[in-house]
Amino acid sequence: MTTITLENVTKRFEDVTAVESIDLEVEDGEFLVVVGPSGCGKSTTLRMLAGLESVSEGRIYIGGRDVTGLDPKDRNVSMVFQNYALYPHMTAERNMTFGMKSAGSFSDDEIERRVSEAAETLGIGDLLARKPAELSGGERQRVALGRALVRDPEVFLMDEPLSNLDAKLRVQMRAELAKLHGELETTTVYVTHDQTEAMTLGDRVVVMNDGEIQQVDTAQYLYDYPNNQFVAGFIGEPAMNMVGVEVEGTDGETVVSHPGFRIRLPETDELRRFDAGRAVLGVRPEDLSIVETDGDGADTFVATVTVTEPLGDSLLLYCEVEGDELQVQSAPRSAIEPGDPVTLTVDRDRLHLFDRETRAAVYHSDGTRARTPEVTATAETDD
Amino acid sequence: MGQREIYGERGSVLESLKEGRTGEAIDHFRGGLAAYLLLLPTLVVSLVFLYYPALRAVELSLYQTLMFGARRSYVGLGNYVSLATSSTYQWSVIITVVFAAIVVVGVMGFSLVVSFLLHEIEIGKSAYLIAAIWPYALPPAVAGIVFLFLIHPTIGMFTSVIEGLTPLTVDWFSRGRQAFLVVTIAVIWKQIGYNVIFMIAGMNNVPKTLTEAAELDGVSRWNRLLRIYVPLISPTLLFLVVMNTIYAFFGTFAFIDLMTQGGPGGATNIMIFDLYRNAFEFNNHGLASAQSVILFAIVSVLMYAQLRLSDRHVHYG
Amino acid sequence: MSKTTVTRHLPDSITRAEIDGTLRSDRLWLHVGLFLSVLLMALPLLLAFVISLQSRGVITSVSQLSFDRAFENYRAVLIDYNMGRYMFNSFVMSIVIVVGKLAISLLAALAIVYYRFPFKNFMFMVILLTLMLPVPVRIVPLFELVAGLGWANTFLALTIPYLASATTVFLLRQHFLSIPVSLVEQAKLDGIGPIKFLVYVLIPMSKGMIAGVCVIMFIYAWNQYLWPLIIIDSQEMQVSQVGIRLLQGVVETGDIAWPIVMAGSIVTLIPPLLVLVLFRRPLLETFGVQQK
Repeated sequence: MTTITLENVTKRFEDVTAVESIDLEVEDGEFLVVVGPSGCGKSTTLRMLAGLESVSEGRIYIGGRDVTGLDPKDRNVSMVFQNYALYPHMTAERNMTFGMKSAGSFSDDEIERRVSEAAETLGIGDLLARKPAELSGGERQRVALGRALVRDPEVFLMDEPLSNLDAKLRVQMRAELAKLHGELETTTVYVTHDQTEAMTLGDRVVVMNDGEIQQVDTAQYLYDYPNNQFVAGFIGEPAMNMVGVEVEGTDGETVVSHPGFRIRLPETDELRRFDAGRAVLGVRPEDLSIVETDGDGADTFVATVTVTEPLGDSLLLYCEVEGDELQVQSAPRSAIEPGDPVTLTVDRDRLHLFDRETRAAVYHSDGTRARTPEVTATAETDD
Repeated sequence: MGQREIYGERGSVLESLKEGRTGEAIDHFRGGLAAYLLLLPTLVVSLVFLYYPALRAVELSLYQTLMFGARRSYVGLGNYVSLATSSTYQWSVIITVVFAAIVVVGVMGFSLVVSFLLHEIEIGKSAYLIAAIWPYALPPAVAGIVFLFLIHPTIGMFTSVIEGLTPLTVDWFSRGRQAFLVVTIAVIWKQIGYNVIFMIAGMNNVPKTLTEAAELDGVSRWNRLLRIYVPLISPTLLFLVVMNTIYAFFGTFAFIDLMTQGGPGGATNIMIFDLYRNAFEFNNHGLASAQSVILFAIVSVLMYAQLRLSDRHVHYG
Repeated sequence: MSKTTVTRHLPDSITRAEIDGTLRSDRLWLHVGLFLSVLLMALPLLLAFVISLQSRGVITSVSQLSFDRAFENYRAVLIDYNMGRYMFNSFVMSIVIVVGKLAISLLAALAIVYYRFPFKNFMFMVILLTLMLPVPVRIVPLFELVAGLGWANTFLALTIPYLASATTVFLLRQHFLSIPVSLVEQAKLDGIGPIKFLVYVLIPMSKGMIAGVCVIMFIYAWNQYLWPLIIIDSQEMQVSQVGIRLLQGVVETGDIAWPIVMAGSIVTLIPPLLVLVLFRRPLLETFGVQQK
């Protein structure tokens, strides 16, 4: 049973706070991905787990054991680095055994057995005699993984391990990592700046920004129900459209109003509690679509196309509506050109409202409760 | 967190100190005590055999040595005053400065041409490179004795050639200017290798695209050297000016000792040789120490200039 | 006919045009100029070598050349005139300086790069500023100190004062800094201690740089003249640079001929020259010359 618990973990470098009071539970056997823009504190968090960075405040437990002050070697973790950190003067095999032999707690037979097992798992059996300079990027990556594997650690820590590979290899290695984790089921914490990698690999994904955790959830849940504008904008490609609107309650109906359009919102508990006023409307490009005729005028509106980007499987339109820009994912092979007017409609079940001040989600139109604590608090006082 | 992949880059001493000040990233092994144990041998040797004697030289320079080193008496700045008023020492300073200037210009001019030719050819490059840098290994004593013999006024092989081809009479054992010239040439000869190494390194760092652009514009080779390479490798050239000056001041003792003994008539009595004679022939340790302190002041100024002027190089050998 | 044959035998990667191009850009005058320059540089040494093989120092025509005494000159200088002994001393001095300097500089660089400790910058400065203290600026007190320790005429005097090296520490430090931090972090995760990391990772990864630094140190040590001259007065302990001065003293009294002095010069030159030629690659790389 290897769980990881971070309690109120904070890291300060002189006067800069890199990680601010993080609480996090990693479950046994989980593949947890930490994602965020550069400088968000994700690598620092990982390095604190490894023991390469000291903790300014808070405690870290691995498998129930308090490791906060322990040396890296006493934590029983393996780490895979972005640049692989292979010793250039040692063969692949020696790279894999060097640390184990130094640890001294393994017999030579044991080491040999583990190396050949790992080599087989990773398909690098015939590369063992080579030095890193004679290996391709993908092969180096495998050797680095092999080195992490042979230690049979309680936890794998991976710091952007795929970012030095070219795009095609990255996709391939991604699938292999997922498969490997499926076989080993070792608790893994994986850091990346790439949201696609995060969504495809993680059992759960932690989104970080400015040293704080924004949201922890499964990839699909993050996508469907972002906690705040940052998560909404960071997860998903192309990014969610965000437009400032007025929320008005008229005739028992709630409507978001914008100089260019009015959209009726499906009623939910949250919406009933929500005071009319200004908010930010979030709608993903694939939830906007072009309609051929004016339906019932209330939920359709006209916009002008400014740029078209054919993506092959779809056509991305940049549309302007009364000073705001909306990206619309539409069917490919259309004759639409910049300057054309288009009539748009929205998928009314896939709308989000965010608070202008706190940027927190206050409403998801399919009725799922926004989880932001502040909103819950407001809702309770409102009752 | 950032990867430090700065292979091949070299920082100046000043830069590296700045780096050290902010270099948070690296502190990988624990224990300040262990660090001091690792530093101990270097620190002990530095303090005992470098700093202590240097400080002691300052102290000794305030004493007059009597009776061939048997007794000392405090004279304050007396030694410095006698140096300042001594015509021998004044002459020695002038000679040394002129000598250093000629050595710097001579060795750098010749080395620059050789380096540029080397840089411009393809065929036989590595053989030429060895043929141009080997004087780096040449011991000054060997350089001095070989020149002494080859241009010996009575038996030298060069002497007969020179006297046969020109109206000159080679007589540098008694003519000061000739002696000065002969010593200077030998001193330059030994230093060519060091200069070529650094100049080639500098020229190799000039982006190839610049050369190609110049070729397309029809810039002649000679102009390319003067207008492109010299300005672009000027940090290297400044570094070499300082290092060659230090060499002329401190690295040329063997030449003088073997070839002229400072003569004739003080014509080659450079500062370091005068210091040696005061210290170990006349046992005038106080006066010699004062000369050491003056040399220290000079080397400090040169090193400071080196640190300020050139961002690229470390002090080698 | 012959032209087509040549073309056919060329490797595919080299075309006729490329060869023409190389030859054209390698203008003949460049080669002539370069050849004359390096010949000029080599000439004194070539003549010294030729003379070292003769029985007399004055040669006025080629017909006077005779190589009968070539071997005898070298035998005489090495054995009768003690040059063999001086060279042995120079070797011991140089090897001890190279090994000792390297060892203690590696330790110092390890401390400076991989540890955090109080007054780190100050300590680094203390090491670096020794650059400003060449032998001449401390010669009298150094002589008194070493003589006072009773080290005169010993290898201790010839080696210990040379062991601290700002240059070596600095170059090693620069090189260590260029090694990716993740390697030491990996070592830390594996529980590899500093000395083990130095021996198994840093030193193997710095082989080229270390070889280059060793060449610099060897040549520097071998060519020392002033300090051995004053601290050594026993012939048994003298080094070969000062040995040349002793030979010169003998030749001036007229007891030996110049060819023997030249033979002494040649043997003194051979070790550093050989080291330079053999290790030119790492040496040049250490000096920042990239080679193809």
